[in-house]
Amino acid sequence: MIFRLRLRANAAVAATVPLLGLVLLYVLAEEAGGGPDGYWTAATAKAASALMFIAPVVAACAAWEAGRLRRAGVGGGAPVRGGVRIAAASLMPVLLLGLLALAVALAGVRAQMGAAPGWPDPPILGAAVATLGGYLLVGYALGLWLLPAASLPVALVGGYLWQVYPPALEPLWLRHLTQPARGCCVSVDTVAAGGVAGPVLTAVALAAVALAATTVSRHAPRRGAPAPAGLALVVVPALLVATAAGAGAVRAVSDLGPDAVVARPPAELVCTDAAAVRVCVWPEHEARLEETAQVVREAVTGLTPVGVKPPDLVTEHLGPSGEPASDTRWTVTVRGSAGFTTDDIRAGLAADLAMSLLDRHESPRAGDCPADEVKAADEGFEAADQLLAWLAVRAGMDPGQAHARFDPQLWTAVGPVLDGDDAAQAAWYRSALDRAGCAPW
Amino acid sequence: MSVEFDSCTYRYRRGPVVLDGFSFRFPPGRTVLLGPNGAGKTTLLTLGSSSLKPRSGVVTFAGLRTGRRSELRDYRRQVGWLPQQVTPVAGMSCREQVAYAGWLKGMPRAAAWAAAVPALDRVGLAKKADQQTGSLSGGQLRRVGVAQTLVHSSRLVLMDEPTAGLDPAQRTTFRRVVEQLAEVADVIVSTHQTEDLWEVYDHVVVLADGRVHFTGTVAEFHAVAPVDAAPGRVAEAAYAAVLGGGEDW
Repeated sequence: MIFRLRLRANAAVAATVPLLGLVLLYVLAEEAGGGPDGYWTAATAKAASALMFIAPVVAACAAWEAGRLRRAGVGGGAPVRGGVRIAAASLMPVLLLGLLALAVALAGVRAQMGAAPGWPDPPILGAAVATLGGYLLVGYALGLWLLPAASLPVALVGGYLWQVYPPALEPLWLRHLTQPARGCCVSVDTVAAGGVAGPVLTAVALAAVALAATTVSRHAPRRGAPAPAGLALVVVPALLVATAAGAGAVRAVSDLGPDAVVARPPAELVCTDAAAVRVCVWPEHEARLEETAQVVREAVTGLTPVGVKPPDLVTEHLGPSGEPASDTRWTVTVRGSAGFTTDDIRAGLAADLAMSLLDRHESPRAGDCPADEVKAADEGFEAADQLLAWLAVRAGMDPGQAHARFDPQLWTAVGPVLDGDDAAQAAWYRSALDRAGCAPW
Repeated sequence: MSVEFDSCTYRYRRGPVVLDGFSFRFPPGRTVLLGPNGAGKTTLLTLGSSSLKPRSGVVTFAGLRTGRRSELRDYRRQVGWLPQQVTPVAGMSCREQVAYAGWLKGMPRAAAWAAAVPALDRVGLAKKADQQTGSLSGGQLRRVGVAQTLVHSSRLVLMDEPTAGLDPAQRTTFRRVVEQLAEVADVIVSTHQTEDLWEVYDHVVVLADGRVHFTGTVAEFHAVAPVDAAPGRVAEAAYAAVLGGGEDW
């Protein structure tokens, strides 16, 4: 009976299968390009990005439902139930469809993640639900004001454009008004507060405008015709709220760049000690902590004799300004997927270390580099590539594996070096750093 | 107990004044509201339904006033309203639409659902309970509208031209509905059809130009007709006599 009265004829029922299918196709196709790697904040943001399909459909269904109430003249039938109750009865299935689609998006992303400690990110989910609410009310207001032939396309196409077009526009922060956590996240990031607050405040502004539009619509089903004073009591505060929320939304996102992210707090790291070095990874990579620690042990063992000072800390955390490493702190990249091998961890460690060493190495004197800038750059980059391959092998990578990963031409120079003793390799390492310094890093 | 209008004034936006200080207490029982087009019948019934609010004046039924927000909900619970235009709710079956009307009138969902088929049965549409209202004929849709006024327990039923578009057999069904309704509720029906007044109604009210020109029993109304009125056309003659010959209307 509830199905017959509330659901059967509701637009949400007809939209369910196409929308859920579209959402699943979207999230599964997206995952093929690189998933959130067990990181729930990234997974939630990915699911929330499906709002570009969900929100316009919710708005269109709400517009259709409002149009049904309008055409049926429900308000003229002297209803006992209030306008909010009547609207809620029609809109609740639509909202449930939106929530279901969001849940399906989240489940689709989750299915691709493998091990994933923790839960979906509540602020992003809350902001996504708020965005849905805003679209729902705007769709409802459109349905009351426009005929279905106009309200449906406006809600569907307009809603979709508002989701996908702002990212193509300047200023960059405009995109963050449209959906939460846009551009979020890789494992070293977390969502910026503005990336959540912006869309929530935008949704509040849209909802307030929709409320004002609904209140003044003569087609709105309601218990009694509102007095002008009553109208003003709703409309004026609603417009004030819309203005304040809109201004707040712009303020919240105006500092954001293309992605609504900030550095992930290091407090989330899980750590272990590998000899004198502390090794830390993100919690979603905890299963590979021991493996990472072993890589670090081997790297320290291989690199210390040739003059590379061992760090105090090896971590996945990049630091607040994204610096890759320092004298006492190396960075490492870990992934949860089985396709990311131990040698991938080792190669990442070597690459970060190489960049760090180059960054910190004093530039050679002018006379030590070729006078020709192009030639100096070529030699510098070649020396950096050799250094990276050498670091990888010294850090414990199997030479055969290293041959497969790096340019074969490098081994003409690096192979004989690796055959030398530690003292010779230390000397080569210092000279390679000097030569690499000739490139314009 | 019946609906009472006290000094009611109403004008449509950018339109003429339809009712100006209108005061009248409808008699209990079955009342037919006659009058020419533009007399104010629809406006009066719409005010009675509380769908419209008088610019000034008071509408009262069973001690409840439409102008008081605290009483409006209870007022509407008591009043069944069939407007001239019955619109199908897109996608709903007859039973769903009637049940939805009951829910709008404050019935719990289960009770509205249960009461929908008996209400459709009373207007002879039980067999079409599962048919989409969008596929009904005009007459059938009007009967769905009547069922919507029956689904909840009204004590006052207002119907604006309910027999327009009904064939003779359907009008017979409608007469039975009004007779049954009168046992539990006051019924006020506006119509242009005068041929079956005697069989259906207790009272006649003639409205023109926003004023009541006649009120009385059907017998009293027929008595207004000229003595030479043709048998079968007594009501028409009475109507013309009340309105002064009819040429102005």
